Parts: sequence; structure tokens; C-alpha cells
Amino acid sequence: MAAIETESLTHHFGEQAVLRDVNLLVPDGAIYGFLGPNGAGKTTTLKLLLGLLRRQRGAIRIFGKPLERERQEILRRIGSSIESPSIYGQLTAVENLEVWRRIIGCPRVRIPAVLESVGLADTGRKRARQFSLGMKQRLSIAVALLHEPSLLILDEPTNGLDPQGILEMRTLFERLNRERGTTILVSSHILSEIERLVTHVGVIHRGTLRFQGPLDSLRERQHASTYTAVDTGDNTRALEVARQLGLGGRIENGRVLLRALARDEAGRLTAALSANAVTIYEVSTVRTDLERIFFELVGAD
Amino acid sequence: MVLALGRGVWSEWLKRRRSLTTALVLGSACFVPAIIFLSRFRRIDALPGIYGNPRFWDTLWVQSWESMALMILPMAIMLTVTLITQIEDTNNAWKQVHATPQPLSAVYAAKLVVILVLIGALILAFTAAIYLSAVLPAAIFAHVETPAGPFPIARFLRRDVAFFIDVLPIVSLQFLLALRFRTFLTPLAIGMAMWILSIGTMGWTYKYLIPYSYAGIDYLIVEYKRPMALPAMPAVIAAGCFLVFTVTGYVLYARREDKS
Repeated sequence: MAAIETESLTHHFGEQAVLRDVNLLVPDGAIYGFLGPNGAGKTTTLKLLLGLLRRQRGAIRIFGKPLERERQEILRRIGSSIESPSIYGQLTAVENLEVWRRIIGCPRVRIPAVLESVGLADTGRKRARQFSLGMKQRLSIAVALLHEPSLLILDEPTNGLDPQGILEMRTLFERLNRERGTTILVSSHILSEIERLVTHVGVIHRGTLRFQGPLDSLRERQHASTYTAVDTGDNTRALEVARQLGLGGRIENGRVLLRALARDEAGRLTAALSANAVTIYEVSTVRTDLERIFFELVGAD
Repeated sequence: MVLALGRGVWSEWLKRRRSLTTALVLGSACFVPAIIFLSRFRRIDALPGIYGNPRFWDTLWVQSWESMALMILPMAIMLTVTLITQIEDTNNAWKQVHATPQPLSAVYAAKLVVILVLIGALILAFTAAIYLSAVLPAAIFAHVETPAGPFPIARFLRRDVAFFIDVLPIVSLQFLLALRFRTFLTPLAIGMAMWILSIGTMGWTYKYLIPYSYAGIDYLIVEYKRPMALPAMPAVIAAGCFLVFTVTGYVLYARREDKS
């Protein structure tokens, strides 16, 4: 079953379309990375999923139920943190959590538990307005975790966190997903930041979903775009030799570019180039990182 | 709904901790009684005569409520309502509030209940401060007897209830404005304009059309015994306005496109 499913979700701010026919599918138990550059439509989508924006067109189903008809029941099972942290500056971390605990009605023991899990157990009587951005972000995540939700919707949760903090949050999300089966939808504009966390990826750009699927299918794209580059003293002759061997290729930026060669193919090519008196300076395998794939997806207009 | 409202009020009450609202309520309640208390020091010799007057409590009550009904209470309400309502705007927390599993009506009502409790507390604290402003000089100066006659607490509490109802339109209209405009100054500026209008039109036949005027009208009718032609008692008109503004405010709030 899908934890989140949208159908032709479309949203306009005035005349401007910010989402166009978005069909989001977040499988139950997945850690779904929702990627896109700033202004792509990530936050608008997340706000629609939480009912913070009035739906204009399309359908939203969460836990298999229509959001609009069963909003309260659905929200009872969701923890969220959208955009900048929602923290009452004059209150302490414990008091901030108490504000939300009173509404949700979960046991008081959850407060020290979530503060411990986000590394804010020792903030004592310090008021939240004195917290660093990273601490506020952690407190915001603690609020989202307070009632042990089965779905977490987190908008750029690592904003303001230092590398250690990012690592800690990643570990926490992985543990929640592994131990409690919590489905996590996490947005980011930096793929490398969530690449090691997510099981599924959705890439949105200019309001349309450009890619969606398991992270492995993105990795397959990565493999498909890996190539071998050969730097020689005579690239024209080298290309002729490569074509005689059935390897195809082209000259680009002063190098001969070929599809990713297997080990024996690379051996045959270098031997043939030597036999044809072509000086070889370098043979290398160029891997396209996921970040590049991401940029290709969002820059494909 | 009742459970959600109870939880909402409990939560809202905590949010106002360490905000300016408590200081504002206490400061507004004590301001006029403190001035009256300090003014006693200017005419110490006349105090036995003042305190021996059988109408001492009535005179003090009328003196104290004059500035309160016409000026301080409306101003305190405008500030309190704006402060409480805009806690969410100041802390960027509306999106979190609206992502909690509570009906919008409970969110709206919970804030309104907290505001009403604070305004009620302000009026009661004001009555207590009036009492203290009377008994403290008697305790300080040996030649001053305690005020003549008992403190008419039951009568004064009934008047407190009337004044509370009189100011409900200010509460509900300021609440509507503070939810509508996300800056601190806009609802305050509109409220100030309405208040100035209510003072300026006090001599007008249709002054009761200004929703900020009922406490002043009530004060002039009951405490000053000034006859006024009104379609109904000020508290009745005020209650009607409160109902209309509260429902309108809720409809506007619930229909807001962006609740983040």
C-alpha cells in the first residue's frame, strides 16, 4: 500500500502554475527523498499533503484515505516539519514540546525521550530564542517525532545542521524506519545530502515530477551514463582504430569518448593503439555522479 | 470537539508564558488604582473626610472606571488580543498548529477562550486593585479610618460582568483583525482608529453603531446617570455584535487559502 498517493495534483498561485499533474507515490515503509531546486514546488506539495494549502485540483490519499474527508484522523499519524522551525522563542525546549503534547495527548515521558533522540536533552532552562538554527531544527524534528507518527513529512530537515548533526539525523531517521517502520518523506535540494538515506526518489522541477522510483533505478541511469575517455597523441587516428574494433565513439574536448569499456575491451583497444603507433596518455572511466543525473533531470527543458 | 477545545486551551495557556500578556493585564488593572492611591498622598489632611463619606465606595468606583471604561480597557484589549493571536506569526508556528489533529474551530475557539479569560482576569484584578487603593491609605495613615460602609462586592461584580460583555465586540473584532493581518501594527492601528471614533462620536445619536463604544456608553448611563436613547441595553447590543464578529472571524479564518 502507498503511504502517500497524489493524482494529477495541480496548484496555482494566482496565474502562475506551481504544480502540474504531480502523481506522487510514496510506498509504505519507504524513505522517500523529494528532490528539486529551490522554487521547484517541493514545499507547496508538502503543504498540500498536510492540508495547509487548499487543494485546487487533483486528489490526495494518505494511508489509503482521502485527506480532505479524514484530515484529523490522518494528521494524528503524521509528524511534520515544514520550512523554518516553528518554535516558541520565549519557551524552553521542554515547554515547546509540552505545547504540542497537550494538543496531541501523548504521554509526558515522550518529551525527554524525543529530546534525547535529537540531542537536546541538556538544554535545561535555556529559552528557544537563544538556540542556534541547528538546535531549533533539532527541536522542530523532536516536535514531529513526539507522538511516534507512522509517517514523517520533513521539509529540508538538515538546514542549519553541521555535518555531525546531519549524520546524527540520518542515523535517527534510518533507525526509525528500520525499527518502527516509519515512512519518511524528506525534501531537499541537495541530492548528496540524502543519497545515503533514501530508498526512493522523486525529482520535481518547475512544478512537474521529472523522475520517481527506487533509488536503484536512478543508479541504473548513472551506470548508463558512465563512459571511457582516452587521451592520445592522435585522436583522429585513435577514433578510427576504436571504430575498427567496433567500439564506436566520438571526439570531445580533446579526448576520444567511448561507451564504458569492459576490461578486455580496454586491453584490446590499448594494444591496437600501440600497434598503430598512437601514443596513449591516459585511459579513464568517467562515472557520472547522481548529482549530475539530478541536474540533467532538472535541467532537461 | 469539547476535548479538542480543552486541550487547545491548555496548550494556548502555556504559549503565553513569559510573554508580555501577564504584565499587560496586571499593569492595566493597577494603573488607575495606583494613580488614585498616590493622589491620596497629596491631600493627606483631607483623607478622614473622604474616607468618612458614606458614598465613599461609589465615588471611588465611578472615579476608577472613568478612565478604565473609556480608555485603558479598550487599549489593553487591543494589545492583549494582538499579542495572543500573533504568537503564531511571531514564532512562525501557524503551519505547525494547522498540521495538528484538531478541528479549525477548536484552534479558533481555544485562542478566543484564553483571550476572554485574560480580559476577565483584567477586570477582576482591576476591582481588587480598586479595593486595595482604598484600604492601603487607611492602613498607612493612623488618622484615616477604614472606608465607611462595606465594600459592595456583589454589586461591583455585577457591574464587572456588564463591562465584560460591553467590551466583547472589541475582543472579537480585534481577534478577527489580528488573524487577518499578520503584522502587529495593522490590527492595532485599525483598533485605535475605531476607538478614537467611538470617543469622538460619544455625543452622536447613533454612537451605538460603533462597536468600541459600549463600555463608555454603559459607564455614562449607569455610573453618571446620563440618559441615552438606545435601541437596547449596551450589553445586549454588545453581545449581538460579539456573536456576529466571532462567526464572521471564524468563517474568514477557516476559508483562508494558505494556512501555513
